[in-house]
Parts: sequence; structure tokens; C-alpha cells
Amino acid sequence: MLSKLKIDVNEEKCVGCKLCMLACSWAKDKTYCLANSVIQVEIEEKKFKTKITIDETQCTGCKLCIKNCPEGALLEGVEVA
Amino acid sequence: MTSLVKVNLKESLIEKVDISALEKEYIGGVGVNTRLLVDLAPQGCDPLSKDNPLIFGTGPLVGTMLPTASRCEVTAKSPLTSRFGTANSGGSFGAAMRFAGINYLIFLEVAAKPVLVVIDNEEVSLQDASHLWGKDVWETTDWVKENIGQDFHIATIGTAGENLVRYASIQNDYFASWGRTGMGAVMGSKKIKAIAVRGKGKVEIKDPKAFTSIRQESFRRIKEEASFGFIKRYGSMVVSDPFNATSTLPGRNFTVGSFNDWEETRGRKVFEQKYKERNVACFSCPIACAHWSKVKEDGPHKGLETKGLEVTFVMEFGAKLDIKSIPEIFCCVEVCNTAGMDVVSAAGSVAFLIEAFEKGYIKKDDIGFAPAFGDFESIFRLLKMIATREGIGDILAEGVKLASSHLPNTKELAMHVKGMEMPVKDPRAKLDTFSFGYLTSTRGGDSLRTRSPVEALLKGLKDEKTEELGVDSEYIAALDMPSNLKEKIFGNPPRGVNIPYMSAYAENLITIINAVGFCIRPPVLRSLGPDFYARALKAVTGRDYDENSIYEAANRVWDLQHTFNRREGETLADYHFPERFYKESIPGKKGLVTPLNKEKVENNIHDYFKARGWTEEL
Repeated sequence: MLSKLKIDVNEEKCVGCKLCMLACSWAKDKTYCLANSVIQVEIEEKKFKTKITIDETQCTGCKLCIKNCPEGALLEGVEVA
Repeated sequence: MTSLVKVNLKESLIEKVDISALEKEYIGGVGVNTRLLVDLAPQGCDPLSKDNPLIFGTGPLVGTMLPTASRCEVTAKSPLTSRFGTANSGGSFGAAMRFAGINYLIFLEVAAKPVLVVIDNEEVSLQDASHLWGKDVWETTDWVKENIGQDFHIATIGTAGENLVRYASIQNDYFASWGRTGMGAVMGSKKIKAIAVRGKGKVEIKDPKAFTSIRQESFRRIKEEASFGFIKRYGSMVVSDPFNATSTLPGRNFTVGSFNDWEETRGRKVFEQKYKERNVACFSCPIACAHWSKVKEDGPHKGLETKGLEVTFVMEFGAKLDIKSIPEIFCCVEVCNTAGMDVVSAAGSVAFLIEAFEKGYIKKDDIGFAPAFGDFESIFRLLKMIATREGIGDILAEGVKLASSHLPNTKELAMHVKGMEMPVKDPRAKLDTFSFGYLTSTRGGDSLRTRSPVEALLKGLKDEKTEELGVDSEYIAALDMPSNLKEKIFGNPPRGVNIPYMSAYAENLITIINAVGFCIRPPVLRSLGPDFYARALKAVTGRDYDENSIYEAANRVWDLQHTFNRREGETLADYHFPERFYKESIPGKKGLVTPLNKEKVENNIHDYFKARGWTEEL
């Protein structure tokens, strides 16, 4: 784990814009590449179900995903030991 | 590199070329598509023949973290109008193309049998899709996701495209569409069932430092725009109530401007309170103007879940066809989504038939049943008959202009401009920039490419050439618009909005938006202009634009579309409304709405031609 940051995820609030993924990808190398994002949003479009996963082993704790979520679907949680 | 992938369907040849220089000249998206269409479609070609190219183009800003930069444009000669055809759609398809390393796709010739085009990270392949031919949009999309990959985004046609319904759409995943001008029929004529794309590559930024500043500025400007909260809350349904209040509904095939029970049956609050469940966004969009909806009330549609309601759906099925029930409107939209048909032209064609039936120009025996405004069962049935070209559906699938030539005495009931059915709003109560655009749009009767960035729905007209201003002088001074145009459009000091000159400006502005790949929703349209887009393009691509050069490029694109239409036979005489707008009054909110004055409308067209520099055509 690169960071102690815990991100609380509310999938019901997610609108599927993937701004968090774009922000995460940018933080890595100043390019946009969804495959590089540590946070991944999967959307089942036919029923509009969203699933958010975070690879905690790769997360640097920069919080750009939280800052760029327009809906408050990602919130900073309590730090873990 | 700006990559264009050419797919020759007859030879199964796939070639990739760099068109960076062309993109610089025509900005991107619709601009590049326009140039390619003009160069590749032979004059007078049959839109449903092998000679018509089908072009997909994303903007240079798509795939970046700029607000709403997701859009993709599809262009071909229109089988509905035999003129310039084009449609724009959001979702994720355009971004997937960019991440796959592809900016433009052209399909040439016709495949020998149905094909599925698979684009997987720059690898483009053609697969046999014979087993998918005959399946609807959702069945096809389900199959591709289950068998090719869940993370693919899919552009597909349904039965309407296969049956060459002249206003067939291309559907963009399950609920979005390239709707207008019949691009789905062109795709069907080429035997392309679907295009599936996924990309795991990078979109590079030329100047990351400048880009970061521009990105922050763009989000701030959009979020500070006064319409942001309303659009987030209601989506496009925000205008549903004002259209009724201003007597501009296209009710019952443009014979009623306002309904007494509109707001409690089809208004924005009833939608929000009874059906809306959660917000839905396109790729990279902070607005999330779409909504996921669910029917919770008892009845035959209980449990139905869908994406919507868009105002176009409620104006077309709710007003034009007078269906009072939102669940029934959802069902009509679902037919269009699964069959792949443009909602506006489909509803317009059904409304045309119902009025023709009411007036006795077509008999029950010719249809097989008695259709009626407000009657969900007969409307639903007719929509399905159009998609399969069954019975009277075969005539309605031609669009109202051609259909009226098959049915004697019905020409005046065919509500179109230049062969395309007019959408969502009646121009008689207020011929503003929005509805003047029906006449001037290069794709025919359409409201989406002539929208004023200072539109004031509840304001009136000062005179036939001038809208009342809905904003103050400070707002005009701060507006992102070349200063030399402000005086011409608003006056100095600002007194009103000159409709012909604003129409030309709005068309050029929206051309820029459709070229770079942004969305035209009001928070974007009203807050960002040529100066912003020039700086954003420079930061992303390194190309040296300023507000004047990007505006001139957009003007060049519009001129080229006009030149294409002239080449295909358009004349000044085509810039006219259906005769009923000049002859008939309609009931409105506060009494009768009187007809338009033809001479005054024609004067505005003359001014518009002058604004565009097309004086030799007058």
C-alpha cells in the first residue's frame, strides 16, 4: 500500500462521468489513459448500475479523484493504521 | 498524429493515414467530417448507394479531462433530405475511439454481407455479423458485450437501419443516438450492423501547464453559469414548462401551442417528483443532465426503468402526438431506441398520418386501424410498423415530405423544412433564433445548431428582427465572443439580439463546439466561446489558434456545408416554413397565436444571407 488514505465510496451517487479516472491517470504522468487509473468505474449501462474499485496497492493518496468528483460519491474516510 | 482509418467494405481493406494538416484547417469533428464528405461523395449520388461515405469523427479535445468533451459526429449525405447529413452524440463512444488511437473513421463502398467492425486498441477487424442482422439495438449490444467484451462501446443499427427507414438512427450503446438525418439508413445500406470500440491507450497533452489552467477555468466557468443547477436538476426538461407557457408547443402536429393540463401531466416537476431516480453523465461531464427514471405507479408500465426524460421525447410524443402519460412516452422512446429511429422524425411522421386520417385524406382501411392523437396503442403500433416498413409504415418510413407525395392533399400537413421534420417548438408565438434555425440549418428543420448563447425563453421580441435582451450590458461585455460581432448583434449600447446575425454567429459557435467535441447544453453554450476553445485547442494540440482564426475556420465549415447543399440542388426557395405557419392561427396559453408574416420572415432570411456573405445568391 502506497498510501494510508481511505476513500469512502457511494456508488449510488456516482453518475458515471469518469472524471475521477481521468484525474487519477493525469496524476500519474500528465496524460489521459483510463487503463492507468488506480480507481476504476464500471457502468452496467442497461440498468445504470455503477461499480467503483480502487487498487489500494497503487493509490498514492493524492485525493484528486475525491476533489474532482462532481457528485460527492467519493469522500475521504478515516485513516487506517 | 491525427489518425483517419479508412475501411473499404467491398475489398475488406483497412488503411490508416495521418490527417493532422486537414484537422488544423477544419478544427476537428464535424469540420473534418464536412471536408471529407464534400471531397468523397460524388455530386448527385444516391445516399443509400455505395458512393456515399459514412464518416465518424471525434474532436481533438475528446478524451481529455475537459468538461463535456465526449462528443462524436457522424456525417454522410442524408437519405432523408438528399442534402448534408450529420448527427452528434455523447456517451463514451468518442472517448473510446480516442483511447484506441483513432480520430476519424470512414466507411466506403458496401459489404457483401453484414459486418461487425471491431476496434480493439488500434487493431481494426471486420467480422461476419449475419447472425446479428434482424436483431434490435439492445439484442445486438448485449451480444457484443457478452461475446466481444463488456468494456466495448457500441454504435449499432436496429431494424429501422436495416430496413433503410430514411430517418433511422445509429444508436450509441443503449440509450444515446446519432439521431437526425438518417445516418442509420446509410449504415444499413453499407451492411454495417455495428461498430464496437475499446481503447486502453493515451491521449497526450502538448502543454500540460497551460492545459491545467484552462481545465480549471473551464470547470469554474461552467459551474458558475446560472443555468448549471437547473440543468443538473431537470436536464433538458427544464424548458418543458416555459414552452407551454409561451405557447410554443408543437401540439398535435403543430395545431395546438399550449395544453391546459401540460404541467401536471408532462411538466418538469411531475417528471422530477414521480420518475427521476438519479443523475447520469456522459464521459467527462460535471453536469450530468441525463437521468435514470423508474415507473413506480401501478399500471401496465410499473417497474419500467429507462434513461430519460429528455425534453425532445416529451415534445415529440407528449406534445406533437398528445400522449399525456409519461410512462407511455417512455415506451414510445424505447421503440425508437431499440429499432434505431430518430424520435423527432418518427413522431413527426406519425403525427402527419394522424392528422391526414382526421381530415379524411386516408381511410381506416388503408391503415388497418383508426389512429388518434393521444392514443398510445395506435401510436405505438405505427412506430413499430415504420421500423419494419409494414403496411402504411412503409410510406411513413420515407419521412413526411416524400410520404405526402404518396398521399393526395396532404402536402400542407407535412411539417418539415428542406425535407426534415421540425422538432419540439412552434415558431408562430416567437420566431426567435431557436426556431429561425429551422430555416437556416444546413441539415434542414432542426433546433440544435442555431442556439443563442443569450437565449431568454420567457422574453419576447422587440420586432421581427430583434429578440429582447435577457441579460445586461455587463454580461454582454464579459461574453466570450469576438468584440466586433457584439456591436453588430446586440447594438452599442446593447439593445436587443439581432436574430439573423445571431443565427449566423450561433451556428458558427456550435460548429466550433461540435468540432472540438464539447456539448451544447446551456452551461457550456452560454459560458464558453471562441477565445476559450482556441486556447484549449492550442494547449492540447499545440496548434496556433486564436478566437478569430477558430471562428473563421468554423465559418469555413458552415460555408462548405452550404456549398454542398447548393451543389445538391438547394436554392433560396428552400428556406421556407410549411404554409400553415403563414396561414393558420393556433390556440395558445393566452388566446389565439396568429400566423407568421411571410414577407417579414423572408426579409430575415435576406439579412441572414447578408450576414453570411452569400449576397450573390439573393
